[in-house]
Amino acid sequence: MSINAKPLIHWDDLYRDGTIAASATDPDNKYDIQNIIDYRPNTFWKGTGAGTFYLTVDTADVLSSPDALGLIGHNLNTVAADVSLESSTDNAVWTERTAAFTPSSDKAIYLDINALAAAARYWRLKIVTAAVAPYVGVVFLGTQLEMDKYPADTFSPRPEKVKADATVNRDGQFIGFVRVAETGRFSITQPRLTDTWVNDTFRPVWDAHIKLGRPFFFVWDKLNHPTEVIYGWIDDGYEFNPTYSKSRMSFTLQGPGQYE
Amino acid sequence: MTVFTDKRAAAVRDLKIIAVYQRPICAEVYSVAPCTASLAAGSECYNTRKTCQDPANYNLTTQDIKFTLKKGLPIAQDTAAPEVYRPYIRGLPLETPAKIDQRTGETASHSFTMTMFDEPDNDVGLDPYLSTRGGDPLSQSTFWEKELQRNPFYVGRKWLIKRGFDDMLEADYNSSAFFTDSIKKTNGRVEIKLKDILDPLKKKQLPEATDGVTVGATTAGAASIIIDDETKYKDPAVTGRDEWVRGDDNIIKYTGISVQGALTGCVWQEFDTAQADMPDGTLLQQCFGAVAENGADILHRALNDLGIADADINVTELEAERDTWLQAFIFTGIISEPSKGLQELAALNLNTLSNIFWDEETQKVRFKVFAPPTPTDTVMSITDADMSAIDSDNNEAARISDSQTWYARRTGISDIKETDSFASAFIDVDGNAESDEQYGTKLVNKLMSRWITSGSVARTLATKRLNRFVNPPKKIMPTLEMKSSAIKPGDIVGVTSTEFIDFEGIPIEDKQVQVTSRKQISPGKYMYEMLDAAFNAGGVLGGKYAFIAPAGQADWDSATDEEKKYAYIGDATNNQLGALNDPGFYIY
Repeated sequence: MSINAKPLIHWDDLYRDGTIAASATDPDNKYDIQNIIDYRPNTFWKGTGAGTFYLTVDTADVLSSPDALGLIGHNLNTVAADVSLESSTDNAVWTERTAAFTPSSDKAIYLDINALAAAARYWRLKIVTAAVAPYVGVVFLGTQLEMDKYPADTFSPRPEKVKADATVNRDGQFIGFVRVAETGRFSITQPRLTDTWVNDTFRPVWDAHIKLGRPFFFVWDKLNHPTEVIYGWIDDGYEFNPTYSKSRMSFTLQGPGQYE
Repeated sequence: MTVFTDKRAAAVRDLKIIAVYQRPICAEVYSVAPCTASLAAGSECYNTRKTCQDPANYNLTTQDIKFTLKKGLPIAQDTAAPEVYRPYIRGLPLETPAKIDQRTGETASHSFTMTMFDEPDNDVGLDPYLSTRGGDPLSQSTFWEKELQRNPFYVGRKWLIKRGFDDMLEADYNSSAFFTDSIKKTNGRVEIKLKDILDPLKKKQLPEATDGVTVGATTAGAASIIIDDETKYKDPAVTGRDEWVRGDDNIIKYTGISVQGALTGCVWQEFDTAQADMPDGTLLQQCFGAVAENGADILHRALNDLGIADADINVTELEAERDTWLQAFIFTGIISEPSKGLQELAALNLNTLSNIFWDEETQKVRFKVFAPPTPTDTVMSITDADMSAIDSDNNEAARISDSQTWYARRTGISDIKETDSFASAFIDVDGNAESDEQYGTKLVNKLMSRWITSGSVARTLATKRLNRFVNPPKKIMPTLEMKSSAIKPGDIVGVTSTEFIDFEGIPIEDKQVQVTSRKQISPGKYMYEMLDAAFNAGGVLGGKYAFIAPAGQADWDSATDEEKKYAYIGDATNNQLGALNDPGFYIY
């Protein structure tokens, strides 16, 4: 295993904190722009057809500097969309912040834009399609948290659990297999942490987002495995329990997640 | 074959569920004619009856709200028009059981509870005026709390439970229809009780109780009867047939209703009743009657009267069964007092050797006569290799030795539970079965028929019931994988199993059984009950049965398997066929 980056939790979302608007939306009222901030990948904003669309957020008077973009529940590869991110300080003059790209699949997307270091009140996702209307389930644009430690040697990046019903006859011969669910999981152990990092860096994210059951994008190695993006959340009953050992703390964050 | 049946028959597949709630809403737009409501933006209705501000112009329609499993596999999307599936369902709703009972004719109805997580919801697609209201709907209560507050008229509303596989689009899913019975919240979860279309029949009567009365004294034999409210009675001009009412012990036919409030064209002394004057205020009960009408058609009308519309009945199958098996089953009779609807349907089933049941896959009430498969029927075959388990029961409780059909009811008001009420009976007794050499007991089975007037029909019914149950048909309970779940109650299936062997101990090939129940016990497994029907292999009916072969068909020895689905005439001395002395056929 070659890992060149520490795991990331992309949790913050300007779209939820500000006022959002779409330049055009399919008139079927099930495709409202509000769907991109409800955390559900299977409720969508959808465009009116082929063309250029902007999903804009106004963060009011706050100059925001997001460092990650996350998308899930979309058809942007299928419709060969050009996707880019723009910002503006006045909602009139826009600056392209990421070069347009076409996603390599319709799976979850994580884009590290930390290097932009750009602050602006207005941000918008630009989507250009030539033939078919685009749709997007969830958009995250905001701050990410880099974990303090690299994954341990025993780290399993994509454990999956299948719920199914296999049937054999009385001679033990295979008859059929019905799969009803597939659950991904993530689990990251952070050992030997300072209490400063735990309490001043991680706990604010825990309090503001994770412990409320809000999902987040989990990227365990943005450099060597940038497409292995998990849309995760904590289990019912998960216990966040940082524990001291010889003046250092450790904890394991784990839960179910959606791989695609 | 459809995409659904192809994938269901596959060895490996992903099972997916969509539940569609046909939510009642208004078809109009707020403040747009004919809607006259005119409050300021942000105070609009929610397009529901409870929140309506102009009830006079409320225009009922439905809106599909779709749910899927919280912990399920994703539903394939049509990229051009993705559907919104709210992932709120907790646990896979298994298919509801289906069951028929040939001994009693009873029809099983079913209900089940679907549990949902009550999740926050952003009101998108639910509140058409979301953009004018402000606030954050996602943080304002939950989906079901809001829905029940805004739209509480859910009882009887339709749900479609859709099942599909793999990458099928929703349009190719198989749908089952159910109706809301109740919604309650337990431990933070919402439990929605759904029932099938037959379930309300438990509370219905045939005929429904009528509370209309005569106005003024009515003289026996009068051609018209003044009534208090003509809308309480069936109008022959609408039903297309003569109708009957009962007042005291009079049964009176009428052929019309006048708008002034009178039954007209009245004929008294119907169904061998006497006639007597009726005083003012005599209760007149609508009757359910038939004269020289096929039993299947009477049952069809009974279903309609009980609220099952033709759209929910497989009328084509019912009429085909009638024409194939029941042409001689012409009945005359009447139900002159409100009676339990399901009980009367069961009686009609017994009178026609049939069963009705709800087929959730076709969303139709089906009607099947217990009879051998026709040459064009496809008889599915299963073997021990298809079964993950099998239990059996010699079914002693079903045995009878004395089969009686009581018929030719003396009058339309006589008690059908009393043998004195009938002019005739046909009694078929198997003395051998009752002897000490065999079972040594007498077990009487009586059919008291308000419908049968024909001795030959009475004899047919008594004899066929005796033949079927004198040696009780063995019951097997195999558990089959989903690939075999196209097998439904009422079907005749060929079973090759160690549960059905000959005297040498060798399994009989394709022993025919009648499927009497099916229940999904896990996502991939169905438990069945099947009764030995043995139309083809010397079973409880004592022979094999088929339609007579058409002229010109090859002789038995050179006949193809398809040709051997027809009956051939056996040797006069031993009823054996061909050089191999195969067992011959019998008349069913």
